[in-house]
Amino acid sequence: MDTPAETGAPSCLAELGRGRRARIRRVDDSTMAEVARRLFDLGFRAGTTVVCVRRAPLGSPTVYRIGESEICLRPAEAALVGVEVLG
Amino acid sequence: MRAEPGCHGGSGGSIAAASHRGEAVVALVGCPNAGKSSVFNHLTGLRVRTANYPGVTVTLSQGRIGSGPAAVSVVDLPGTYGLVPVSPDEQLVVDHLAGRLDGTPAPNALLVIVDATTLRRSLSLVAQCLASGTPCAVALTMTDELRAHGGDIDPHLLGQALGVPVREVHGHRGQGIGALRGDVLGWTAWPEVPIPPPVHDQGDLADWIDSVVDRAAYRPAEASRATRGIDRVLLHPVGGLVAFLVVMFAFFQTVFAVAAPVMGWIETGFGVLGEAARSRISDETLAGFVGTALIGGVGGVLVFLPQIVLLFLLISILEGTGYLARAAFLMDRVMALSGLDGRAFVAMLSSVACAIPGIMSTRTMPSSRDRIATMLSAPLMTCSARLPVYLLLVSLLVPSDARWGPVGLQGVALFALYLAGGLSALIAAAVLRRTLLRQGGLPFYLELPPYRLPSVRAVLAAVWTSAAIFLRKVATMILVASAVLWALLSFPAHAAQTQGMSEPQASAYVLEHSYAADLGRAIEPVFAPLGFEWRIDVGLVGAMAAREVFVSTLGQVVAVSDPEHPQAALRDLTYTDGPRAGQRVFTAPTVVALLVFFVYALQCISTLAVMRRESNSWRWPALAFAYMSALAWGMAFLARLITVAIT
Repeated sequence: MDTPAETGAPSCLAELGRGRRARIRRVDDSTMAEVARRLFDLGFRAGTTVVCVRRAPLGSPTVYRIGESEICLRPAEAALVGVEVLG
Repeated sequence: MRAEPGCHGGSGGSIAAASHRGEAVVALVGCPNAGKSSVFNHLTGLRVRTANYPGVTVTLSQGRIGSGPAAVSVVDLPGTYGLVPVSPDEQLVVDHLAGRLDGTPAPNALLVIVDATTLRRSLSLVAQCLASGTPCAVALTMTDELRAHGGDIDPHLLGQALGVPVREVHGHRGQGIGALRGDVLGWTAWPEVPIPPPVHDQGDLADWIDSVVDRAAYRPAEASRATRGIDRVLLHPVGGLVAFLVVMFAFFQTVFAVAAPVMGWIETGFGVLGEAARSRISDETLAGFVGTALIGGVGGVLVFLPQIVLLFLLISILEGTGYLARAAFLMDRVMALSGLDGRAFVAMLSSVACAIPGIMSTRTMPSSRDRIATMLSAPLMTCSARLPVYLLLVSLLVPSDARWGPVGLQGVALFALYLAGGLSALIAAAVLRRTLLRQGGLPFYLELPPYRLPSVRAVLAAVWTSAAIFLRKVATMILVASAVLWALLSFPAHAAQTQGMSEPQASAYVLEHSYAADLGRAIEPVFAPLGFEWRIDVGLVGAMAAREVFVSTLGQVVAVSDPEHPQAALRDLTYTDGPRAGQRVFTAPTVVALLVFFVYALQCISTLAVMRRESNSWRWPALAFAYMSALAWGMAFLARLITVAIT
């Protein structure tokens, strides 16, 4: 499989375009373990499908559909979520 | 001000109090939007009081069910998605649950509120509660919504899978609440799970969650089409902003337009009452005390109620429908500039009506540092009490017929003052968040719940609680302060000297020889660089009761027959002694300095009192008063220099 850097595909949630679906690979817990843990509690779990629903008019935050709920994240938190794009 | 015999009024409520009575404590834990407050309100009725953790602003609601030795105290903890803390506030709750807080024993049992429509997500929190070793039970909410949208769940099987009792409740209609109340009273029968869920490894926990979801015969609901459709409009890049502006405009207009006449009635009513009391009491001092300090003071407290009630009515309706979260989403980028998040927007906007309800509405914000930063900067927003002062001073500065093309210059000046207040509030918040209230790595996340009809009960409870807190805990401070100010402005008495004078002259004479006048002369050197004469300083002393009192105090000083409209007399007011005797007092530089002073100064004892109540400490109101006074003086001085230079 091509690495994201070669194909230009988003590798983290913050780069996922509006309307795109992705599967979560892992949540980076190396710097802020408790934030990664909270993302898990919010439903951002490895293997789960996430959809980028819309961005706020001023560019941030972004609404993601994850499981049965819609959660807004700013780019800083969304960057912790590693994804592979599904479509 | 006790509303019913069961109410626990009083001040300084502590969550330790229940355990002193020997009652068991059952804590409600749940994600935000899970219907936790609704369950809490149904369980406890209005027999609720709010309590703080010692020394901090994290507020809990506490109610009591049952009676006698079996009574159980129910504590509503702040909503959270997990028990691994990401903020100092959450650390406190986690310490409380673990019994690590001094003087606050751990709850005896946990009632976990689970929203059936978000079961998979919520099970992470459930697992952490089960793993805490405290006996647990689950109240399952929103099953009606789940089934209406094609989902399903078997609460009995969920209970078997979790190993704890599960009770289905419908917060809106109160169904299942009676049974749940019985469950809570029988909390001693709640089991501790023999094998705690694997909460430390996320992979294992995910597997555990999958197995529980399977065994509970869970089928998720389809996403609400209505919510998607509404969001397509309300969160549209252009349409969404327009809709937001319309909602906020309507919100603000309602607070202003509906509250203003009621406030007018209260003021007029208490004015008439005070006058009636004054005319019926022969002793002049007593008449003044009863008529002005007592009746006027009560009126001065009650006048805030219409705005508080309306604001909380509207905020809890917006919150109940789910729009408040959308508003926070839309405004987050703007508020992020000041280091806050979108949730601070409503508090800031509300402060344009009045800082009192604005500061009270910070309770809806989850982080206490953000709350404090908002409280400390919100009083800079141009509140309605500044308006009469601005109108008077602007009329002294700009002739009413001065125009710039089609635009009246008085309006421009007024707009500039509003703008200055708003910008200053955001800058102050930004500075506070980067200095005194700095914190690293607090994550931002916000759930957009489906649109729902707000629960009437939850809305009424929010309105009731805010009004009750204001009356019980803030009213006394405001009353005492207004009595002290009245005494300063009317003593010592000069019955002999004022005999035969007309009423305006007599009241001017009393004021001119009052303690407030002494105070005004004493602080004159402080304000002399700003060009304020001692009579202006007396007005500033009077304005501590409420900013608009500045107008009537000045009116009283210059002995006009209608103290609410002293423009003409003030325009001609001259220095009576000193090197500038005969010169006009209200020169352009002085008026500009005064205007700027009013933009920044925290001249409002009620704001300080409510800040004390909401921050649970005198430290923050003291800091707010100090920094705003310094800012007011400095900016007024600067404004005076600039005005002198250009005129």
